[in-house]
Amino acid sequence: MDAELRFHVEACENDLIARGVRREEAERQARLAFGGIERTKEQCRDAIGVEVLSAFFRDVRFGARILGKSPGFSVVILGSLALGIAANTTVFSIVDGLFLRPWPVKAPERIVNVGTSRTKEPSFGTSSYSDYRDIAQAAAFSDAVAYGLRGGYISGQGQGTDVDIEVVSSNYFAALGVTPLMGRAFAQQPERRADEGHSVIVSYQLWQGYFHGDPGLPGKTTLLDGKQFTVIGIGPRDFCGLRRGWSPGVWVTTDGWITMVPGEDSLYTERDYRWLHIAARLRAGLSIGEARAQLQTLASRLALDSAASNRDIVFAIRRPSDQAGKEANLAIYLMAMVALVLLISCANVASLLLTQTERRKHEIAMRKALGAGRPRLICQLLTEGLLLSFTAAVAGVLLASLLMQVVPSIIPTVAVINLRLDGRVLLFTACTSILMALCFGIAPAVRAAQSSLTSVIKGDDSVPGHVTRRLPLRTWIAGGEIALSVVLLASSVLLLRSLLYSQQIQPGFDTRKGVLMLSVAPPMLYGYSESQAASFFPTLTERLESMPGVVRASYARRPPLTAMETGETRSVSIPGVTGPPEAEHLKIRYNIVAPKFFATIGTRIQRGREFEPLDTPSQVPVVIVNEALARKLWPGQDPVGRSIQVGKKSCRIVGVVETGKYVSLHEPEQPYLFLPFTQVFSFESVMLIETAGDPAAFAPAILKATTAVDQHLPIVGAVTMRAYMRELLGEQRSIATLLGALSILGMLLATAGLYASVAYTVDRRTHEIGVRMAMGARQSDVLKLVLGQTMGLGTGGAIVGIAGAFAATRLISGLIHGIAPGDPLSYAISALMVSAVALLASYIPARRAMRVDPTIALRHE
Amino acid sequence: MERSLELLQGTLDMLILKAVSLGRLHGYGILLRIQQISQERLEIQQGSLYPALYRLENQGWLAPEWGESENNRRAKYYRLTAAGRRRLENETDQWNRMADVIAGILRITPGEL
Repeated sequence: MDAELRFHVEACENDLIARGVRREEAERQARLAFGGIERTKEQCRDAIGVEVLSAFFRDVRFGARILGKSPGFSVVILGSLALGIAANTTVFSIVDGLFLRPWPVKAPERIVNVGTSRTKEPSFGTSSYSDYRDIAQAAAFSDAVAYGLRGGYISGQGQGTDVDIEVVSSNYFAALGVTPLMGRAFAQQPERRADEGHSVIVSYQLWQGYFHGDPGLPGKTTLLDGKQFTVIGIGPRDFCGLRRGWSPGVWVTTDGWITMVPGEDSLYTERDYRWLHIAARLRAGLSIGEARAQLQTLASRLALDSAASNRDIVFAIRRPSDQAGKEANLAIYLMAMVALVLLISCANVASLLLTQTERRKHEIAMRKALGAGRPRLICQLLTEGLLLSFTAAVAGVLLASLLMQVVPSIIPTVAVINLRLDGRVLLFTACTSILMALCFGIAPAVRAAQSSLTSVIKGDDSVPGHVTRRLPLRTWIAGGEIALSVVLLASSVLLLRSLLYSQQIQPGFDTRKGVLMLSVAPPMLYGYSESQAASFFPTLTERLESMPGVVRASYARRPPLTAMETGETRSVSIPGVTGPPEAEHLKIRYNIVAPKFFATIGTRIQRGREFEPLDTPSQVPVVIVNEALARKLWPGQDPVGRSIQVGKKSCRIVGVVETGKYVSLHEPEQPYLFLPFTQVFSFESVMLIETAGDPAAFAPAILKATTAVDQHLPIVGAVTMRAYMRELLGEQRSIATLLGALSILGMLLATAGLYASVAYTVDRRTHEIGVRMAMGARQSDVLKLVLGQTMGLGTGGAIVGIAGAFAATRLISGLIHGIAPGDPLSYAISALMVSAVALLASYIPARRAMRVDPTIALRHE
Repeated sequence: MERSLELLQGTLDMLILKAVSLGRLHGYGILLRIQQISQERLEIQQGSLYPALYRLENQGWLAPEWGESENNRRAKYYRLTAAGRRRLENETDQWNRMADVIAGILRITPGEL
């Protein structure tokens, strides 16, 4: 191309020379007539579209040079952007792990979940084994698997430990297309199925952890709940079952579960023993609608054939991605909040770039003079923005990989997800950076393209008499940042107040008491007979109470407040009272407790007494009720001494205790029942030991005493009541902390941005201020002038921010306790705080404006 | 010098094709020929010539080839392709028809309304 164009110019020259023009003159005229060679080249390339790519690379090189020229500036921008990107990437990977990542199984898009629902109140619950077998027969499914979430105790390799167990149908691995890392999956042939009752597949994490990555593990035996099992295989590294956010340590078949817990064979026979989740693979070519129809027919058939268990049962199908619910809302909310911080960061960068663009006026004006069109200019500036954001993205990704190591220890709930930077996460980061670049690149680019050529070259900077009636872009940006900060801060305040409220909730026992909770492994797994197990705990209690520093000790089936409540209930009714079936037989949750239980944990006994050793099996069966249950059954009367039917036994009420919280701190009041250890057997229990002083100090001695009673019985855990209560609020605290950190970060960024913005405005208007002061304006007038705008945008921003926060907190209304999501006080506090900070940030540069000496200002360019 | 007529948009392409249809030319030659056949009444902006040439080449109406010029210098020559010839015919036809229509409109006197 070059040769061609030069030839043209030379030919023109020669013609001119032939006409008698002097050589130099001919050269000059030829060149003039042709115009710019470079420019023509560019236009030619444009005409055939090659220009774009080479222009891009040129812009990138140029952009890199510009960044290099002001390193401090660039580092600040890159740093804040990288932080924003890192935070966003990390939160996204959490969301990805929880909801988006497809299961590492064969054709995950064809797999759906099947659940049990009731005709009167639609829900999506677990199913029974018998129902599962019928569902598996449906023609719509090529395969169906069942899986249940259970727990147990694994031992045999030194110290035992609690382990999460997924109980599955034997076709689980085969149907899902999951191949074990080592060994094999459960056999499917009927004749070998019986053997699998003693087989276990160990998960990758447990293999690495408890078994220390032993390469010879397949084939060895281990103990589950004391029963011998053979390890037949090890699960693949990234397979954690089908339940999001829950990762089993081992898999056993339903037969295996029955081996572990004899008596559980009712899972095969009882059609209404519902605890299994079902996943099914849709047959190729069939839709969910068809499957739904088939299941409807099945449900109707079962309602007739097995009316006792299935009278009002229907089956529902859900895609795995629909499962989310409350957790999804939380995830979306967190992502939104993190994105807000990033937005504030971008806004700051946009402001900074605007400033820089104005400083580069001359360079840009030159380019325009040399023929760069507006689109070219915008393209170039956008490319610089892209360069900036991509560099920040790379730094951000590196930072994110660091963050991902740290986050699981701060927020335990995400520990089960394998946080990693896979394709999807990286794609998200790339998209975010492009969006960011557009976000903060557009404004300066458009502004630059608009700038008037001649005035710039003349050096005529501030146009006199040019009063900005229209709010400058920078003001809008600052106002936006204020709004975003209010949103962040308001959420933070709400969550904080929520947390404070939760910490004040009375759980029905004295949390300030020094109580140690000690769990041992269920004695019956270690060779104890039922009667031996029953006498173990009283013996231990006696031994402990004889220790110095121990005030009293007791034990119960489970701690007074525990989320591990399996939801077992006892059917309770009042003999002789008739009525509708639902009212007659109440299903009440219960705990089995020993004498002095209430005294140990500090629950008030309102009427009657505690259980006593006298309440032996030969005596009348006794129970204690809580106040809520008493009020429900005998409103306004004294229930002590009355009879109550618990299950099939007729029992006498001997005491009433205050109502507490039993499953969750935020549960509504519920009726509760206490049964005596002396009369009712419990497989497992937890010791509750009240100490004089800090229980943690007494813990070693207590543990030693326990081991002395039986050294072969492993201690599973020991925790002080105070630590336990703290941990209950662990998740709430984590989220509040996270949001608090984000809102502080956001506010800092916004404040910095606002400060810079006001400082810059003051700088530009120095001349104007000088004029005003020379004309008699007082210092306070100048202050009002500068601050007036800030106040305006502060108020506007705050209002928008409050509206935004209100809308956003809808998503996490489930996490806000004790106050309404629309609590005005919280919003008012946030708005005021942000406004105060904003005012301060603007005041400082404004003060400088006040102090300006008019004579200097007038000379200011 | 007489003021040269302003070139209507889009006609440059047509003129280039016509010029080249009379025989293969290099860029400078096209410029001269157009000036020549318009009897010096048209002067092409040199800056817009080459982008137009590249565009026409890209669209397949001109075919380039390198050759030797009159004074034995290497130059890039353009010739009309078959598609280019068809294009020129279509454009000419359209131009004539348009000229007719517009001339008719401009001729109308108030009496003919």
